[in-house]
Amino acid sequence: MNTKLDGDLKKIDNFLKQRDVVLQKRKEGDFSLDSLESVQKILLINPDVATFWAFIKEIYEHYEATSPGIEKLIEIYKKDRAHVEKCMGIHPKSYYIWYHRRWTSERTPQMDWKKELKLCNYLLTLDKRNFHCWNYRRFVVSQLKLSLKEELDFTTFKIEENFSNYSAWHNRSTIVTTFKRSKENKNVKENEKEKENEKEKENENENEKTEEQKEKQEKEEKKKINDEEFTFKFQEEFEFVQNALYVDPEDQSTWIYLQWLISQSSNEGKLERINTTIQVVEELLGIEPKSKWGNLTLVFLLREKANKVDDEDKQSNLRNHAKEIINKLIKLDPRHTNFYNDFANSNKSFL
Amino acid sequence: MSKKEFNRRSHIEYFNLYLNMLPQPIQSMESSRMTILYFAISGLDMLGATDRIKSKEVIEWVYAQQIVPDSKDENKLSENCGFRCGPLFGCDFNPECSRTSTYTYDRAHVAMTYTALAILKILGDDFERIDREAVVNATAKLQQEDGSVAAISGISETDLRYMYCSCVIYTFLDNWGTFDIEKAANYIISCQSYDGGFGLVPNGESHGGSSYCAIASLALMGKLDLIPDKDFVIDWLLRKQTIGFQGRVNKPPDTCYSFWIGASLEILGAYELIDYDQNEQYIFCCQDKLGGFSKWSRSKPDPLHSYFGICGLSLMDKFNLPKINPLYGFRDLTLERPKIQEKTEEKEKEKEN
Repeated sequence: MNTKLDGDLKKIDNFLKQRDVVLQKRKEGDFSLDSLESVQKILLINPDVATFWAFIKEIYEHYEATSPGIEKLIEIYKKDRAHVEKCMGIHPKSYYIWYHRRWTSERTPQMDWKKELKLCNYLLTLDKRNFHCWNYRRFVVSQLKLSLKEELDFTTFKIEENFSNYSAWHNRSTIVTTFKRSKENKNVKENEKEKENEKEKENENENEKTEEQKEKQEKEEKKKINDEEFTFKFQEEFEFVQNALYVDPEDQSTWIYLQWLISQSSNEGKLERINTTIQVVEELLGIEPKSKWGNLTLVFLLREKANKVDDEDKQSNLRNHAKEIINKLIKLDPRHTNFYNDFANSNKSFL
Repeated sequence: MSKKEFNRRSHIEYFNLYLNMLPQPIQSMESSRMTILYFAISGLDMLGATDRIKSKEVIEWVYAQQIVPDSKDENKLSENCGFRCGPLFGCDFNPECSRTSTYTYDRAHVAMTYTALAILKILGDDFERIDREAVVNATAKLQQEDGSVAAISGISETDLRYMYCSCVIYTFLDNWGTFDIEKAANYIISCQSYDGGFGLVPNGESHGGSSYCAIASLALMGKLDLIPDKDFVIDWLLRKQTIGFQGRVNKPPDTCYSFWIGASLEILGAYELIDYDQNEQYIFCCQDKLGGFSKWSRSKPDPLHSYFGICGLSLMDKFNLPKINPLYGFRDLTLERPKIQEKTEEKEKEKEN
């Protein structure tokens, strides 16, 4: 026990000495690369101190102000990435570390975003639910200007790897939402773009575009073509979700996504969509009658159908059928009894 | 099934330990010491053991973490005002909060300011030594263009945790300053995910902690009605109960979500729809023999999960725990404290034996 205590005391002593060195340098306004080394060292002991990360950023800001040239900047941010990756190994879910990564990536010249994407994809194999990684990955994707299709394909890959990867389903929902929004704004954007293009053509002859600007423009144009060619096909998406349901009818991720997907379809084909889905769900319940989520989804669907049909008798039948299923659910899922009783007394469908 | 005993005495000892030291396993929390102190103080307060707190000393220590305006120029580094985590960076001990010369790197952190004010409130301090204007102005400067709130002045991430902290600060000081409530509320709504819960940032996956921050912040701003469909949110919250509560879909339950999700439901007026027994059972399987609660059964307790475990039980009106104010996360100070029937608890224990 004494040896352990001695060991701990030495560690504490070491940490405090290093802390004092770092703080002294900061107080003196020493933003040299020597300071960088000290603070990077102490962060490997405890990566959870915001002030130390802030100091590093200040060192970089000062360094950039000395105009060291692109090669040197690339070098220093490369070293930073290696350091951050070590810290991530200790604390893969630290807010500070991920924020710092983003902050430096944004200012690294000739940033290799493809490599960054590979890092994100690798870290997601270690922890597929790490939302810091997912959030950062969404940012990297926006820098790479990946097309919606490429992003969708990645989520398909992750979901097929593991259907209960809720983070992947969530990411999928953001892609669908983006697609929908871009379609809605298309006309407005087209008019604006026309005006912009005219202005750009005027400026083109005056300004020489840098390599980076040219690359960026190329990427944007490529993405635009890919997005236009890619039509998010709701029918295909429904089939994808239905397949997932058959693989694991008890996983709520798929059911939640299905409910949401139906709510996103336009009013035109909605009743037809609902009828088709009712068929699918009832078929599934034939095989797995105790599927809690299957039964609950059926309730939503029946209620939504009731909201859409004109015939009062039909409405009443649908709602009664829904109520019967709720009673069944109370037996299947007694923990949520209070919720079901409250839910039974309303006619809400959430769709 | 054995009757679960609420080990009040052990929990009191557990929190008391943290008043005096920060054990090795969580030494990295030194940079958030104010929040640990908050869990200990509020924990003891919830357990009716305020006699174990040396209130005067604690109040002095908390005030000594206040960063006040510069003695010569009160506009100099005014964005740094508020409270720091603790003396980690070797500042002078200045409980009188007299003005000194300010120092660029001595910056307040919004979560430390929130917990400092909470500690003072719980201990009955009247905020006399708080430079209200300085704190409100500095906190308002943390708001970004998009309405979100940063943690510290300068370079910082922004997410709903800090939104919540700042809203509580304005509420406690009864002054929202130049904080743009409209923008903030719209930012919060933009964090709502497709399934009804709220993520930490726009497009973020819905999560119990950020959902609480979203709902409580909107409530404090008086903007709860901006939520388009409250039932949809309530459904998301209720579905997080498996036995205890999980923070996200397909994650194991975790003691602290009995508070984050529970308090959210309380704010939305739907708490009674949960399953009380299952929730209680889960919290109890995380109770440690020597005091405190852990996040999962058979793992080690820590101050955060111990504190929120107790809050989780309080929401269910158990064990004569005082009612918490779900918006603040500590005891409702407007209500009288319930009497702790320790003798009754002892008698019941004897009966069992």
